[in-house]
Amino acid sequence: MKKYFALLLAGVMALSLAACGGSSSAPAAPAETQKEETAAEAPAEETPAAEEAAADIKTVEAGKLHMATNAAFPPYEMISDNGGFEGIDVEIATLIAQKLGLELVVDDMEFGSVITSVQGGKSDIAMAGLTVTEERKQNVDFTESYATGVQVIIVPEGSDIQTVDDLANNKMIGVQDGTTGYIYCSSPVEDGGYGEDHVTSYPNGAMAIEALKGGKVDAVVIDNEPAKAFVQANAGLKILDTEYIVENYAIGISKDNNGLRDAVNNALKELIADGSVKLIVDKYINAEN
Amino acid sequence: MGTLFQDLAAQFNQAFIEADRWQRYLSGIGISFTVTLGALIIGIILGVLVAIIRTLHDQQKGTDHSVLLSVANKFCEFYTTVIRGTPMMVQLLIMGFVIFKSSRNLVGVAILSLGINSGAYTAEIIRSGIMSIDPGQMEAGRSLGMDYITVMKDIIIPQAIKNILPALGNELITLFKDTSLVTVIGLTDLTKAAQQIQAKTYQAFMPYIGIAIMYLVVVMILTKLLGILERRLRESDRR
Amino acid sequence: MTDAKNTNQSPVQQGEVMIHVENLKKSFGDNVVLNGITQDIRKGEKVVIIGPSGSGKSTFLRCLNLLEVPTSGHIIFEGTDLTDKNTDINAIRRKMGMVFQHFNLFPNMTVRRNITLAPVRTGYMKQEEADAEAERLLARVGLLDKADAYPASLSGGQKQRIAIVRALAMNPDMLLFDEPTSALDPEMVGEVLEVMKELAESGMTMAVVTHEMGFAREVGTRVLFIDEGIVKEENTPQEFFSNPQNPRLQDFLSKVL
Repeated sequence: MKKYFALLLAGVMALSLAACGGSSSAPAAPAETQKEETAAEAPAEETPAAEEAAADIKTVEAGKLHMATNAAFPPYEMISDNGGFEGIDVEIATLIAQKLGLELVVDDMEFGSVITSVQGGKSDIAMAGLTVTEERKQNVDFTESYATGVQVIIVPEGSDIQTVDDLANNKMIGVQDGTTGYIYCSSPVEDGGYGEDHVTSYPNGAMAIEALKGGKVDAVVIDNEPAKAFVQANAGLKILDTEYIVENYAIGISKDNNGLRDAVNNALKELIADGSVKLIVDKYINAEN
Repeated sequence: MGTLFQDLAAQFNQAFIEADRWQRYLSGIGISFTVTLGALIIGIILGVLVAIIRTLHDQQKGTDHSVLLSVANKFCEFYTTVIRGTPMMVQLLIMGFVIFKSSRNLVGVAILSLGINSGAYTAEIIRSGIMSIDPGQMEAGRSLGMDYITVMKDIIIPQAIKNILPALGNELITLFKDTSLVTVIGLTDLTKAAQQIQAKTYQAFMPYIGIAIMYLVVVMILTKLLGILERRLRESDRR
Repeated sequence: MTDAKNTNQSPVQQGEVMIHVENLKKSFGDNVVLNGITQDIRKGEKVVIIGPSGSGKSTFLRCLNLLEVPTSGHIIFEGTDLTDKNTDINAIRRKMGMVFQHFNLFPNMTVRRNITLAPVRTGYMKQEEADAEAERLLARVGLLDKADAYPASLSGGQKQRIAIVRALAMNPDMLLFDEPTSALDPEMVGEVLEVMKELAESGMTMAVVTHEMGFAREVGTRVLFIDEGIVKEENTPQEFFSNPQNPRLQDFLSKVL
């Protein structure tokens, strides 16, 4: 009974909020200037479709869209110099929140907690460079993919590992806990991996790099963007030209909130269609190249 | 209700059965056991050594010490101070990434780290155990012409162990649970096995509740075994 | 010291000197417990040491086998100076058994193991020899049936008899008794004194700190009165008890007799 009552209450609140938003058309108040600029640049107008969706959705906190992330994954999410949050995921989420008439709130936490946070109803959406896999789909819903992540291989200069194929020669591969790099590398040989015995998994990327420098592992498989930073900071390491894998990033949403999932997904589709997402990604990544 | 059970069954299946995942927990608990056992042995050897050196030093207060004993005692004090004054996690990080930065024998590094850590606590436990034994026991042993080490080994330590068995049992259980910290140096123990399965499946409930139950069962078995051991050691008091 | 009678005048002074104590002093911090004791104990003597509590009599006994390390002075046992740093004290102690007030049996071992541990561990006997010796000695004190019991199941008198057997198992040349009956219930004192009497009759050299004046009179060959860290009087038991010279001894005897 309590649950239904809560649902009813949430529905009423959502309705009243949507009504308010409709009349004043107040956008989410961006916490920092960086986001404001982006919002201004974005060509998106609030479409009727998105507004309609907003009427059906329920969020953890009325009027707010809580985004669970681990703000230590540049350029997707990181802490800006003034202590706020910035990055590709943060900016895309800001635009989605605007479309839904909600205010974005960033919940920073351990990477391992990001998914449980949306599953447990502490946050609404999970955006932390999450890669879609079939197994994960059983426990969380994903939106469309909004960006591609690239996993690369870091080796010491002069290593006999020249290509991805060389990893198969009984090497020890360092990865980061919970990443797809770990999942792919540790899967059995018949599934294209190297087996658990050839993978050492560290709590974070910097520790994996430390292990590589010490000689505990022969190579590190990690996301391209942090990889660049690590190689720049540590002389004697290089990124192999051949990518280990290209994967799709998407937003994770609880399986119990189809309304929110559809609304976010629709908003994201619109942002992809009108080029806003590409603009943001280019600003952080492709512009550098 | 039906769907709830179906959901739980599906989660259970994904967390334990699919892709033979139960083997991951099994090998994880094997690592946890290996590290516990190895660390226990190192810890007891170190603990006994340090306890004897420190007791010997204390007992000879007032008389002139050999220089060697004074140096050894200072070293033991330094060792217990440093180990008990720094977090286990930091010790593991230093062992894994500074002292043994090139070693691929992660089990060895883990055993050594936890063993050295445990030794400092075990030493204090054993020292309190030795001090709890009537000095008359040492005098009786020495008056019969046995040397200090023999009296310690055959008379004092066995009695001390009996007195401190509950404390030593707690140390063993703490040690077993502390093995979950070795995840930081990259070793796949029971905890890391669950973390990895969570990362693969994006479900936390089954893996974490599952390993909590596994840890609990092991600790309960250890407690039971220690109780039996304690009763057997106390037999000499009742007869 | 000056009060003590010259040892040469004592009637029972024959046989070789087993232990020679030379100007023995012992202090714990500022507290002077022994203030210069010179004594000879000869082979076959049964020296009984009495004195008020805190007089230093137990400390004197414990210095003889170096359980207490003397502050100064010399202890020469069978020609070896115990206070010499190079002396193997363990070898000396094997020849000088000690019986304690509180028995100090090893509670985690059977009676048999209590007795055989030291002979075996010091390499003096093999386990079988030690077992045989233990049984022979246990039979002698009437406790053979307790060989496999643990100390906790024994009465005080039985424990002390076992402790005597344990000391005897090393086949010592001399036995030190530190108030062996003080911790016993009155009805058990007799059985322990009986064993000690038998030992005395067999010719064992003994130094006994005790409050049992009857034992001193009956078994002792010489009685020492230690007070304020020195030997204030010594004599044969008859003379000692019937004709005490020192006023402190007279006072002491008037209280205990």
